[in-house]
Amino acid sequence: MSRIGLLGTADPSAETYMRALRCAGADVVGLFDGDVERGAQVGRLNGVRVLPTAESLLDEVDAVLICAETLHHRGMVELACAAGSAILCGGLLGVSVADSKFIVDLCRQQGVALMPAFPLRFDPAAQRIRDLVAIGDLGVVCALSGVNRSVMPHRSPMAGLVDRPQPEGDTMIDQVVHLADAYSWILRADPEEVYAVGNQIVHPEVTGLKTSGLVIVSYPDGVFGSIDCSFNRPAAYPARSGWALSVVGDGGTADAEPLKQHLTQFGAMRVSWVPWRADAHVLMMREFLACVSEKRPPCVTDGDGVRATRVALGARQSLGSGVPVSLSVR
Amino acid sequence: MPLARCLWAILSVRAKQTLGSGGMNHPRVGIIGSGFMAAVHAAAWGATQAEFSALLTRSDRSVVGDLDMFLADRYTDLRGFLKAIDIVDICAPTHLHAEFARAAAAAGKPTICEKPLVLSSVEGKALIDVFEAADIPLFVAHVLRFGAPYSTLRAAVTAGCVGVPAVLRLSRLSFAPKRNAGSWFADPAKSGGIEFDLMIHDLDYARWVAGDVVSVYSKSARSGHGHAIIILTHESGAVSHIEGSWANPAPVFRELAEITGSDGVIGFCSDDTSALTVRLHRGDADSTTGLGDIALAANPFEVELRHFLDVLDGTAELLVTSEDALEAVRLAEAARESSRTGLPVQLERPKSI
Repeated sequence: MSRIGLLGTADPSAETYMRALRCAGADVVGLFDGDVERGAQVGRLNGVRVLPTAESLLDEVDAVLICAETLHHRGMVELACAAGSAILCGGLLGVSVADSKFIVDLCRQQGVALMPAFPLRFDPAAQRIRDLVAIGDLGVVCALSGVNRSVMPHRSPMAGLVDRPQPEGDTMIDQVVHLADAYSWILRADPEEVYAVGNQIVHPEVTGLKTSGLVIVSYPDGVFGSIDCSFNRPAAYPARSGWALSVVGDGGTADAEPLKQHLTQFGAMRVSWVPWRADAHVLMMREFLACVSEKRPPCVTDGDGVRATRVALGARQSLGSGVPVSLSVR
Repeated sequence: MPLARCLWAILSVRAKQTLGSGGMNHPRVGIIGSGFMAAVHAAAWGATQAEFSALLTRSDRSVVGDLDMFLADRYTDLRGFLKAIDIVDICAPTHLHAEFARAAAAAGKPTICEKPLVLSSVEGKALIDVFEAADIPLFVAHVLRFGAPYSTLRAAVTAGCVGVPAVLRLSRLSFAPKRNAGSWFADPAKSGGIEFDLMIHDLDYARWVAGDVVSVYSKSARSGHGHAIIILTHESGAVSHIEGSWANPAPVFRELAEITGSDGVIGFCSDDTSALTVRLHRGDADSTTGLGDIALAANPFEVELRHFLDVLDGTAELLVTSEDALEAVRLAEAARESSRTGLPVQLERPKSI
């Protein structure tokens, strides 16, 4: 049984990841969080031991899941590399392209496996869509559109995103990475340009954080894909978060929406969805654990992580400037 | 009997049954054009107190299809046509709208014009000035505002049920209308392409719900049958994601609308709103243009035409003003420009028209 540790708990998916790791058969040994109070709460709520330092945690594990604020990814990666621990990294790799490349280069030099956490890729509907494109059933693909939206991650104790906005700005934009990765994975193409708009009409009480965002990414040959990355699902929405994507080609169209796989439960006060879909998070964790035990590179590569991070960072920049941002790699 | 013809028959029978018993007047309506929309309007007029009495076509030999059954007088001479009617209903190809509208205004006839009004905002401004100067009512038939789900959605949002609108997601996903290769429709210079012909519905609707637009960014597919995504930034700060598609196989016609506000989310998807589902072994696939499921709630075309009659009676205010129609043209124009240049187009506040 692989022993896994958690570095940081800022990522709103941290609890989902922990649950998925356990479902996939891992031993979640403990966590470390630079924010001691938050770490203690997450540990208590999830039955996970809290360790006083990252180093002490790294002594006990085969691999780590990094869920710290993006700003702290680099430091965590340095520690994990020093300990020779494989890394699954949530959200953006780094706070800049240079920072992300530093992280990738360091892991490569140290021979440490670095896998970006893109669970969407492990979803059966997403995989079917990619297959349809690959075998040509959808013809020449001209456009994609998708949503990856969630409720505001208000919940205590993981309020790091909300109460203390990160220095790099709008964390909502972090949600862009999942569809950005999926689009490049489906199209087998690199993004060229990104445009983003947003507002803070939902949750105006939160300081300095956009809560709704629309992004369009451009690919070679005029192909484009839109991403709705909003934190604007109401508290009573029947799902905390979810994604959907559509592909349009000259051979037809296809939609993937795993959230549809639910029972509908009508209570006295509200309607709930009881999901029965394949759990892409668990499937992703199985791949990560297999990489760790077989000491092989993951199927989602560090380069995939840099590429998606580049889109999210460009979107953030466009959100500020109001004009498209070029992503071309010189 | 093909499904479409059957539909017109049912609608006109129902219309005769529900005709008011001697309303104040029975204005005579003349339709210009003999295509798909002309037939839709002809059927819808049947449900009003007005009479579809004259049809203007290019020549005596123009194929009018289902329009035959309405027994309107056929004209090929514009002047004679205008003399014989009280209301002009322009269902001609888009690039001919302005010419016919000017003639109608000159003849002093209240005019209904199918959307889009015209294909350029400069031409549109000049045209609405003509109607304004002559004090002749002009109604551009943005039918979405009269469709039950859309009017209900707007009413709910206006009533504040989701708070302040933040994101509008509006999609109109259809198959490519079947037209002959030489048809005006196949030529974007005459039809305006997907932004003008299809997406203008949702562009107008977004503005109706979330107000004026300050910036437009758009991407349009270079290959395939037509697909585009337009992002609007409204003056209020709200943003709209508008998707239009002709990329589906017939008879797909899907409408999706979702509005997220500060207090909640409201919307619908036409996949889930059909009140009647029929599955026949013998299929009728004679539909040439996606129209959605119009018959089972109030038919929006009947609602919009009755609305115009009420406006002429003085009992209603125009729900789509000329300025609204012109703004919709400006949005579609800006979308096409943005698709061409790859840059967002900033819109100035409309000068008080």
